[in-house]
Amino acid sequence: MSSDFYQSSILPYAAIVIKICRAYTNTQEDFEDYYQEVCLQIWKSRDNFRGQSEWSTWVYRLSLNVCLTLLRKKKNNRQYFASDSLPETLLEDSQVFTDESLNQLYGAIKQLSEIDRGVILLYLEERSYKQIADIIGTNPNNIGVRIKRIKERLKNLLDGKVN
Amino acid sequence: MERSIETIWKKGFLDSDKLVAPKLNDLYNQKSITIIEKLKRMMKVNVYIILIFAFLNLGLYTALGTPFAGLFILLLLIGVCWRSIKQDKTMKKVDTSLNSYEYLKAFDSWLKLAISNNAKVMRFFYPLLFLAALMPIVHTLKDGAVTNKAIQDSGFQLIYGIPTFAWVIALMIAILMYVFGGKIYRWDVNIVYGRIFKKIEMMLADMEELRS
Repeated sequence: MSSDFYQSSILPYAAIVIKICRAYTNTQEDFEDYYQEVCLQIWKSRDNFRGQSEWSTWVYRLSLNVCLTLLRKKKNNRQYFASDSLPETLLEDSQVFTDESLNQLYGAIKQLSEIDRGVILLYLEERSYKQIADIIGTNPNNIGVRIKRIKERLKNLLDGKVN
Repeated sequence: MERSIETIWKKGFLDSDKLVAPKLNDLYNQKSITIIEKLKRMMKVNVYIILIFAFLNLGLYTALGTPFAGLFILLLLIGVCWRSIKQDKTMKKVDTSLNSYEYLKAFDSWLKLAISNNAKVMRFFYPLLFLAALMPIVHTLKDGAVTNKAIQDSGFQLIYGIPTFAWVIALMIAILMYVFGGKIYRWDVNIVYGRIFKKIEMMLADMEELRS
């Protein structure tokens, strides 16, 4: 991957890619793997970008798809390993950010379904309903209702009402 | 005052140093290890499957009255397994301390050489396996009262109780198997490992592009 491509086409959107990768991983090691894979896939799929949407929308969609794919692959692999045999380095890292409230919010987001995580991340990044629907591949009319439901669930999780 | 999730999100990331992008390095390191390990595992499983099949086949051929043909096939298949185990040892000589690209490239070269050498050996294996596999049919035709009488009354010239033309056809098929043995082997290998070979090729192409 050329340094120019990374600087101009990925780095400006790195913040959201990082936030998405963080929402789907529990360790620094996994996070770095996911981030690298997303960057690699963006670079490999760059010729598939037809300009029908904004580049940023395309980057978000690809990031979510890569994270979901890796997460599913990981889940399948985990079936072969007993959890008590996992090495120390794979233990959950729940203190990623200095802001405690943000750590708690991330913890709550990670308890959502895989798709809902993507929806709320894009909402928090102030993407429009239309953009979110476009990225997730759903009807824009349903997004508002879905976000409202997710926010309620997050609030309950943060208030400790839901396990 | 209770903060909304939007506020937590915005404030939390204002001074977060965790939004610094990680350094991109060794993009294919884990992938190349994973794919080669998968191939090694598949090769190992394949050897076990061949061995199990060889012994089951021996039982079947004995039951069909041709234990020697079964034993011959067993020896042929053990030969294939032995060759595979021997190659596994040479594979371990591929230097794992190389970087991912060089390791994958070295592994790919080893794989191509192994396939090319195996293709030469398999030119003999397939015809021999085919001829041995015919033995229960020959035995059944010879020993069956009805079939034996039909063959005897057919007026055909016979060799070992079977019409000569049948032997000639079988021999011609065996010769064709010898001629196309290499191609049959590559086709055979492609069915089992084709997807992984393709992945290795794609990874190498990507890595070469990344390096350019």
